[in-house]
Amino acid sequence: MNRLWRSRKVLWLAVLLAFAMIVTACGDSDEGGDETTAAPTTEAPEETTTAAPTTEAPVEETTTTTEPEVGKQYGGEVVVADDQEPPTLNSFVPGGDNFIVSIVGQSYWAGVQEIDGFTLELIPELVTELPTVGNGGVTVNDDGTMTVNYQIRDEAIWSDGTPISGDDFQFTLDTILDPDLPVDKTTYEDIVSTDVGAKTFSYTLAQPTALYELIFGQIIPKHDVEGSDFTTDWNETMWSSAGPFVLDTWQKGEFIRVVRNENYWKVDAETGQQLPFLDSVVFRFIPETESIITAFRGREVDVIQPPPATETIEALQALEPEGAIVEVLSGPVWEHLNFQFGPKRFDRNENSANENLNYRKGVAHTINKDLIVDEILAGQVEPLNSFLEPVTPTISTGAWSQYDYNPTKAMEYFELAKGELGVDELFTVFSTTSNNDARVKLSELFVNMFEEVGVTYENQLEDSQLFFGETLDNGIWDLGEWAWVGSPGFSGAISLYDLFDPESPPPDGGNYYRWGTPDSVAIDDATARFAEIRDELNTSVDPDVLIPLMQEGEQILADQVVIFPLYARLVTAAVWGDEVGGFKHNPTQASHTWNLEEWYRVDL
Amino acid sequence: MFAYIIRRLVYGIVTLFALSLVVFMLIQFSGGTPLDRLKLNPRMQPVIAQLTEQWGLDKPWYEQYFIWLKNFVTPIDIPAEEGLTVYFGKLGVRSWVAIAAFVVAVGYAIATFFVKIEANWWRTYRAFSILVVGAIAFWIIKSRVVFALNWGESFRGDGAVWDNIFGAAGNTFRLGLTALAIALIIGIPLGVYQAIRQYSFFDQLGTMVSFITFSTPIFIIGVLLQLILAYQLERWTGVKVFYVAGMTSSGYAELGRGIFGLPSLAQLGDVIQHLTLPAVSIAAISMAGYSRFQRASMLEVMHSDYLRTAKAKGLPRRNIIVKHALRNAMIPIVTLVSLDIATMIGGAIITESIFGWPGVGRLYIGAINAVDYPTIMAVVLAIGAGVVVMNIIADILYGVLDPRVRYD
Repeated sequence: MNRLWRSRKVLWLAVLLAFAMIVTACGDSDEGGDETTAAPTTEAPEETTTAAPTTEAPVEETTTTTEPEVGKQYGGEVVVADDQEPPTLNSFVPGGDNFIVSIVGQSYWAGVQEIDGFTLELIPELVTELPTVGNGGVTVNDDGTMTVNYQIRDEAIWSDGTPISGDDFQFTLDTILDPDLPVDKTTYEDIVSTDVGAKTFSYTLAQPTALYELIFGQIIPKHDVEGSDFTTDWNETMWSSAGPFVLDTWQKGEFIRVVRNENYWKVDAETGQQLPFLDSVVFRFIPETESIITAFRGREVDVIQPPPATETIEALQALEPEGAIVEVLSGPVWEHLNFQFGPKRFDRNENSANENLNYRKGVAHTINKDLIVDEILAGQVEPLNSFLEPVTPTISTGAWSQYDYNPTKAMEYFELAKGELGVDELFTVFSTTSNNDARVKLSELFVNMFEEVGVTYENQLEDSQLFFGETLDNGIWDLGEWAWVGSPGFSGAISLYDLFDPESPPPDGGNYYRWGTPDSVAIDDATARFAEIRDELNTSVDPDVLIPLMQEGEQILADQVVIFPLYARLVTAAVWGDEVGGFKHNPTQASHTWNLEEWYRVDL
Repeated sequence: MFAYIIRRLVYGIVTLFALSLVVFMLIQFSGGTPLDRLKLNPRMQPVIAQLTEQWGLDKPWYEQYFIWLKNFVTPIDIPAEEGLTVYFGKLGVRSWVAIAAFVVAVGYAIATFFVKIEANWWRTYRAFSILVVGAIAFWIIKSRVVFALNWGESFRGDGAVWDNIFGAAGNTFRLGLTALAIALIIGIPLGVYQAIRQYSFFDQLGTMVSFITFSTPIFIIGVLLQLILAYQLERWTGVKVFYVAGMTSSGYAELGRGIFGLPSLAQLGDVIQHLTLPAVSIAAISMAGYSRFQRASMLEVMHSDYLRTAKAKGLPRRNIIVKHALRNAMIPIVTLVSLDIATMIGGAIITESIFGWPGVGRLYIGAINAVDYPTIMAVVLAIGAGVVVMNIIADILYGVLDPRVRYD
């Protein structure tokens, strides 16, 4: 025995064995350490093992890889990569507002509306049609209140077979209004009464508002969640799904896997086949963009939505001959140049001339937007002529198109401004975030543009924490630049008008420009009219009223050069087209996974 | 020696306290808050107000600090039945490791007190015990069967900081231990061999390779490994040998278990396919460092008088190198390795990001970006504690390697 132990081979073997056991044990998760699985459904109906009955759908008992005689292929898995991991699966708790929560959430949640990736318009999801004044779904009552009626689809059921009902809508409302839940309660808190039916839900708002369009975007199942601790119990697990998939596994830090919801209620509009086509989808989280691209190149992942740097886009486009499809779209995030009208601008530039309209018009003619788009976005999209263009282009009149790049005209305006201000020279100090490459590049381009028109120009860039904190809160900038995010529908557009509301300075309001606020130098007829327009927009729901008001407001902002829209950020997605079909990128917050149920493998 | 360890531990605790205070102040005065990302949306103002109160951000910084400190050292009350369920209900890999470790550790403790044996099997048993006892300690902490501290909830919304740290620490250890093993197994013999064959072609080549590796940033090594071994190798051979990112495949659980709940060969293969590239990229740099240190240290020892005496006495060359030279030349390496292990707790931040490895480093970066100070504080203190403990262990090992060292 001693000879055996003396043997070096045995000794090394023992040490190696112990090491292997430790290493394997360190990260192994078979005991539930890191891994989260979906909460078991309380009642799993027997028919859940069979694909939902349609004429084309396979009828044998199976969950996977069955091929219909006609139409798209069933089965297979698609891997979607992203650089972030959701901190939680519950969109109603802190951290739930992260974009990645929505990207993953498209697979298992459903609500009143979704955003069509082709038209960027709101379309109905759980309800038969979106309520409007025109179809009688929205009624403005004689007492000044407004009633909204939802007709829930008969076929809409939760993944455990329970019908989605008006009770679920009411429960969702009650949950959101829970004072202990730190969630945005806007519009919900204006609901004064509700009426609940088996497949109907109506609510009355204290006053008409177009913001009704975007509420009830995600419905919570009462039968699952009632009686549980909403903020704790549902962070890492998910309630019964109303979407095409159900949560299978969450391997923290690595991936989330969702599998087919056998009780999903939608069929493919084109072929009539039961949706979804895929057996499962894996969301894999890789922080480095370079690694995501390499994983995509090596076909470890099938779908990616990388940050839209031009070199990334070019690298992806080089893969198109091998079967990759790269979609480069104009996104909802729009960058804009803007002026500060509050008194703290002098802390940044004691010679600030922002109060002078001719100066602002001169600046507008100084900016060469085509050059900016060419340099920053490699000319992939057109510059913006309005803040409404990114997500509601049909409403926009392109009001900023009046300001072409014209240094001669700019100098004429600057001369007028000098005369009105009684100064010999104009000074501009530009501030934006220093840790954004595109904005740094922009600041470099501005140097030449302002030099060309004879304005003394200085860059004062700041870390984003400082810029979006102290600087914006207190209005300590002269000429600034950052981005806002637009969202579709009237409600999305109206919320942008709130950003210029003269009655809403920060911190409670969003008018960071302080245009027309009590401490502003710009208080005139234009700001007064804009305040009226903004009030009317927030109490109207009729498109015939809303559209002209929006266009008038847009024109005022352009004429007064309160801001100067530059470009919408690109959004990019790439998919291996020889592997995955049905993919269509959606540049809005609905993201590239908006129609996950329609994806199918073409290589099975 | 016992008094020495206690004294060092007290110093360590004071150091950690000071570290926590400095880091907390730095976070507080850096100008950002975890709620900044919500600020630009006016509709979120009520939410910001509610969370500010809920998280205590409206209190003065020193008050926030003392609340955090009190919670940080307060154990969480875990229901006994929960612990028992975990302990007896699911005997997976970690449980078997723990049970084995427990038996070995008890045997070791008894033998240390009552038996004095210097046989070879006893040395083997000792080496084995140290590894297994480490495993049980880690398992106990990770599984929360016995003990957990109230390190608060992450401001990012991803749950309890304690769970997040120890969930990520397991993954970091998997990567770090493998990298360390590769670096030691290759680096130290390489350094020894270079010293023995000083100025030979192999020595020159080794020196050149070491310098190149040591001076190459880890992200370049990582990206090159991905491109060559994960991407191009598959294109050349048609076989998927290594993966670009991740710790396991999404179908890992479906690969089936082996005997006694241990990973099956397929699972082991899957782990190796994911683990190799990140481990090699970390090991490459450490390996270069170890080989250079080992070479220098070995050369110094080999020119010493006592080795000349050993040679003059006619001892076999192998004995001279292994027993006399290597043992003494290992002393500087111990310091290096102990510090490497300590920093390993903090995770290989860049490597974990490149390879999508869910370790402490990645958690730390995410926490910094979100100003999630409960997580930042916990990670910093975990690294600090690691440095303190590993320094003490290194000091003890000096005594083992060099009998002249005394602990006064």
